[in-house]
Amino acid sequence: MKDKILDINNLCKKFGDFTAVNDISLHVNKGDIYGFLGPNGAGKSTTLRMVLGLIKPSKGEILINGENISGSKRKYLNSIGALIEKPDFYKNLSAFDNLKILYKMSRLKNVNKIKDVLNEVDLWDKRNQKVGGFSQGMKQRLGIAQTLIHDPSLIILDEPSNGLDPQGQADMRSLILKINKEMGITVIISSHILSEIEKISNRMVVINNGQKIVEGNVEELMQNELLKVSFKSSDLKLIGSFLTNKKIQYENKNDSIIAQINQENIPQILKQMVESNISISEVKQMRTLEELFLGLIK
Amino acid sequence: MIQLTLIELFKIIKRPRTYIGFLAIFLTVGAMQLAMFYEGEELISIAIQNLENDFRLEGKIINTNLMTYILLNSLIIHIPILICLVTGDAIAGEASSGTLRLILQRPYTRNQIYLSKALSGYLYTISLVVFLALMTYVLGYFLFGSGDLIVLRRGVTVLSSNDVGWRFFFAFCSGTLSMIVVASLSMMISSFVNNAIGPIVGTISIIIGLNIIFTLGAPLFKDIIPYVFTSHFIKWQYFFDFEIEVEKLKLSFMVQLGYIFVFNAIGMYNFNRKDILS
Repeated sequence: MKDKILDINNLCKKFGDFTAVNDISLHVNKGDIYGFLGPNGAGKSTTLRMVLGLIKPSKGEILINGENISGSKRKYLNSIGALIEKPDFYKNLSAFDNLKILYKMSRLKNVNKIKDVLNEVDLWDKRNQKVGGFSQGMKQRLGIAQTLIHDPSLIILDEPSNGLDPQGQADMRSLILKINKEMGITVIISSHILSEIEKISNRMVVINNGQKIVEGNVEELMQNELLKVSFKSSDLKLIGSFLTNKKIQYENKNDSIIAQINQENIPQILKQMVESNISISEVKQMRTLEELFLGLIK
Repeated sequence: MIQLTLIELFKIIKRPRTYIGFLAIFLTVGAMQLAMFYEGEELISIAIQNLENDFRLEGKIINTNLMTYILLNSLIIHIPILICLVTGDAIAGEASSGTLRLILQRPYTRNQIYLSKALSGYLYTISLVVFLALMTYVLGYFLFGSGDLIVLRRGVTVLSSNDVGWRFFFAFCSGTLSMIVVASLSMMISSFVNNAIGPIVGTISIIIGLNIIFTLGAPLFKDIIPYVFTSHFIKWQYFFDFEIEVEKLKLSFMVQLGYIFVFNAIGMYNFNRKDILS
């Protein structure tokens, strides 16, 4: 069994009557690139902010390396680097001065580390330039640099590709993979760009309306979904009884039925449905993470 | 804490708005001193017209001591505005620019961060008052030279030029304490809002509102006035009495310290409970 670096148990957050996060439990293993998926307003950022102590949970516990953060006096933050939503810096200061402030706030003294991380994100040549004049891509890279500056064991990246062009997104993915594979840092990445998660994550969670929908290994979740077929029809009950007769498991989801069918049997099943005079308006095999995601959050 | 305070000071030093205060003092004090240099005699003769009927005044009435005394009155409204520009921005400005969540991800408690911001704000406040003192005294000395100080407060007090140095020192210390109360108030308001304008407008509105009540001297508020912090902004004037009312100054000192404590306690309590959503 792998070591857990982050363990969240029954986490809740209420803002007045609104429940932003509702009883979420999840865990991240050391070495993971952990995808955090959900539509806007699902509770992703709120959850990540609670991990960082920016928002106080209403209920539940968060453990970093087995230690409950509520009693840790924030020392645990030295093992986490985070870029939440967008990279905001002191615009009137240079990239170097910004990192120097954050480095010193991490109670560290060897400023050579600033050079290392600026080189890592290819910004050393721009170190004396004021951040106010940086492009979005440069700010994003500086944002990654500040997450690395204190040698964390866990990095949290909230929508790191926001505002980047396709090349910038590809560069960001490469950087995240490098951080994970070469530096051995666990990465949590939240994104609404689902293909991004699909390409780089090994484990993931999907949340919606503040609740966990599913968590697991990305490959396994994908393989399971290869067996799922979605049917749409004006008479879903007829499809339901047909599938029951055939002893095929299915579930109703709004205006469709999701059935687990062996891929090889799909043509045969469809032929039999037509012969049974069942009208089908749409048949779709759920194959991509995006479809999985959309299916899950419906 | 020292490291954090130094970091906050570094941020203050690098922020352009920090220098607005110094520039404003330089221009205001410079303009007033020049105006007094050219038209001061006329203005003063109007002010002391009645006095000249009863006394024979010799020597230079307009001198650096009088100018410093006059300009110390700017502590009531003008200097608080300049202080709020920096201290009001300490938390609210960082919240609106998004850098607050960046620094709160570091392994310091919110109390430590709040206190370091307060301390650096106080150092800025002290530097502003010291600059005011230097500007008024040095420029005044250069333009008018030294001389005895005539104070028109509860009658006429004439203080020898040899006797005013320590009085000004304590007057500026008293003024600095009052300005630290202002800095604490704007820091407290800064912890409640997420924009930099709120603490400035809020603090100045409170000061002006309380000053109006204090100046009107309505019987309804008579008993609470000694405990309203704005009423202590002019307590520095007590140092220019012949017989200094030490007990009243002690009470003023305690009341202002109390306000500093209360404003910081409320600010820290709120800052600790605050969810960082920006």
